[in-house]
Amino acid sequence: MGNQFLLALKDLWRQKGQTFILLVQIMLVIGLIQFAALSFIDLHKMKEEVKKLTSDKEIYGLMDLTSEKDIDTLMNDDKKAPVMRSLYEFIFHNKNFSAFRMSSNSLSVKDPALLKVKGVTPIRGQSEIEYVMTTEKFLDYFRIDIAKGRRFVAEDYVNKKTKSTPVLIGSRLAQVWDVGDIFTDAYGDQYKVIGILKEGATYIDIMASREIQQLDSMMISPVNDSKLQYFSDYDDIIPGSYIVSNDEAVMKQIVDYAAKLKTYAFAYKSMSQQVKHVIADKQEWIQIQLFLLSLVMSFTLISLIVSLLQFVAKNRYEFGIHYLTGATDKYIIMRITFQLLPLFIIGNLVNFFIDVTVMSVCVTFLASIVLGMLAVIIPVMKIRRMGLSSILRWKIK
Amino acid sequence: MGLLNKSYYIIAYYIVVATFTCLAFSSLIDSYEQTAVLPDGLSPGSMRVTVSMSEEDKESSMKTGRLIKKLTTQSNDPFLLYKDISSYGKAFFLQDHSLPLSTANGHQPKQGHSVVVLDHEMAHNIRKKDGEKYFRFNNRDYEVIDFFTPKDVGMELARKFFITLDPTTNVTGMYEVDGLSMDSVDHALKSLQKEEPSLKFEVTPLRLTVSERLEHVIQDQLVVVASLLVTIVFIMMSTIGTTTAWIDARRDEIYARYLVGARFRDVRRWLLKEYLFVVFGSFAVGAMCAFLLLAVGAFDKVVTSFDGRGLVTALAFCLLIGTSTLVVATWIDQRKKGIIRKGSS
Repeated sequence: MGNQFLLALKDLWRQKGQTFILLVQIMLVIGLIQFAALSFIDLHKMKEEVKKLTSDKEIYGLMDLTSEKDIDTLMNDDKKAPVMRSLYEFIFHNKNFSAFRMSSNSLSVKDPALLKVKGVTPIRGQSEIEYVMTTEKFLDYFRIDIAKGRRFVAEDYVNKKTKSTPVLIGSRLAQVWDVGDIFTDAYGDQYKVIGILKEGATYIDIMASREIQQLDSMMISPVNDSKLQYFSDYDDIIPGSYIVSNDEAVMKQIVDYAAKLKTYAFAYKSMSQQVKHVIADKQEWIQIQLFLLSLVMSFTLISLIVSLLQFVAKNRYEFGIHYLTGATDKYIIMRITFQLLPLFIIGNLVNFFIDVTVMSVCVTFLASIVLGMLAVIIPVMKIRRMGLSSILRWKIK
Repeated sequence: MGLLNKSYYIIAYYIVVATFTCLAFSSLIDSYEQTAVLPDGLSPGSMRVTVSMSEEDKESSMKTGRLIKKLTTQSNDPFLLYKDISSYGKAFFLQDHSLPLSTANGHQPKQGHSVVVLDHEMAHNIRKKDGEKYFRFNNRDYEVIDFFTPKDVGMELARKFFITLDPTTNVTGMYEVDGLSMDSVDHALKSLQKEEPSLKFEVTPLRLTVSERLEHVIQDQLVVVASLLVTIVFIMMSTIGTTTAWIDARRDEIYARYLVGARFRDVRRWLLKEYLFVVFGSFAVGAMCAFLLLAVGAFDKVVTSFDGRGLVTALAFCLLIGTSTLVVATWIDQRKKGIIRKGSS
């Protein structure tokens, strides 16, 4: 077997140019299979996430219909901050329903150890960490658990005194920081790690995006009520709020209250309605990947078959000698299969540079086996049907 | 039959090329045509009007009603005026014109009423008052007269509601005018400017130029364009080698032709004829595959229609690729293996 593998490697080396072209094609196919598999997994996760969120109550998202001009007017009106405060209180501290909000952003931290953490972006020697600023119910609704430390408590959302902002860090960031550690960002603001999230924590801002956000390389910080002062502070939070209630009437109350305060022109949408669009978007993206994949895969499969048939035709006499010296079909099949094996191994290894999951790796690996088998079947059949005498007669020709 | 036996792999290649080029060119042509369709039912002669103040901080005292008045006095033609009021909606004014939306019940707005035509999906935002349905926007109730299903046009976001234009709102903003000539709109705006000199305006036709349309097609069909490029790269990578092998497989016939006095160009012409015959046959099968894929809705989100012009373009593309591939392959064969000998007679 080892000998067959070595012979196959020599064959590949002899046809360097063709081998390189086939390798590029196989890498492309495997890459596309990997992406398609990841998209399928993502779609499944998203459906699960939404199902989990809306299992017992409906969640509504606010749609901000306010024109840019009106927002500019509100922004320049100094008297609007108290009005915005009462709208904020009405939405987030209402006894009749609960609400949550997440707004994502990033902060720069200068710590060389962070550069080694997967998912942290290096920018000009600093590390850019994504964080999500959340209101009180966020952790509950996305069922995010803590592996170490504590969750946010009510005080973290209203604390006026603390010098450092309490944060929960993703599991990968725990390679650098531990509970109790304090760090400073590029602007000199301090953050204190109060807890580490369980690995695999996710959330989705379904009204704004179709992507599931992985929290492993992110941080969560609380919206501090006491730091909300200007219109822009409230404007970052209120328009993207999610309201949890089984009574749709509360949404009309919010729309009316915002209009009464002469702030936003709101409408609303339920999460189950929005998710249909997000799923359709995702399915379109998957179909696009499958379109490209089927094109590249068809070409690659034909290229592999043609290349193996050319290899068989070129080495027919050598195969005859193999047979004469006692080789069985098994060894000849091995010799042909090993022409592809190194290419598929390299193709699969290169894929580890993509942010893969165990499932997507398994799917890609299985797809590689199927593709390899399809490519090998015709050349193997051809050589088995040839017969020894016709193989040997070929040399005379 | 002999030709078929020796051409299996070339046929397989060209079936794949034909299937994808038929789909790709159909999609590109369809997308190009879609760029001529303007959003929200506007006709091709429509124009965009931007009214602003020369000093940005200054607020105009002029109202939209004044602009409507100027437009109606300038021409007796029926027209439609849209004003952008939100990223989700537009306000409309109709002068003997119908609202060009394909609504569920075909109801048209009544003059002097504050009404709204809503996207079906916004239906839950309706309130009921005295048996009538209303939609609240900016603290004002608009009577819901009908519903529509938005269509994605070009790169614009589909709007979710259309309300009656309030003539008391400030004149500055973004408008779309349909039904009037550019000159009439220009005169109306100039006469408005005489009343308030700090008013600034710009009128641009909404119809895109050919280069803008092509730019939209490339943005809209990025994946299709990418798959066409992938096809070309793959043809370069694989088809020449396969064609060389195809020529190799016919060397007995080539030698026989040389023996009976054929020249290089005769052999190449004969090979090209046979090769294009194979390409043409493969194209027919590929086109059928493309049609079947569309019929079963396999890629309905990427390619939506099977266009005759797309088919012809794809055929021209395949024949061009086929001819150049064979020319290159015969040249390679002549250089490397001497199967096709230049100057042989």
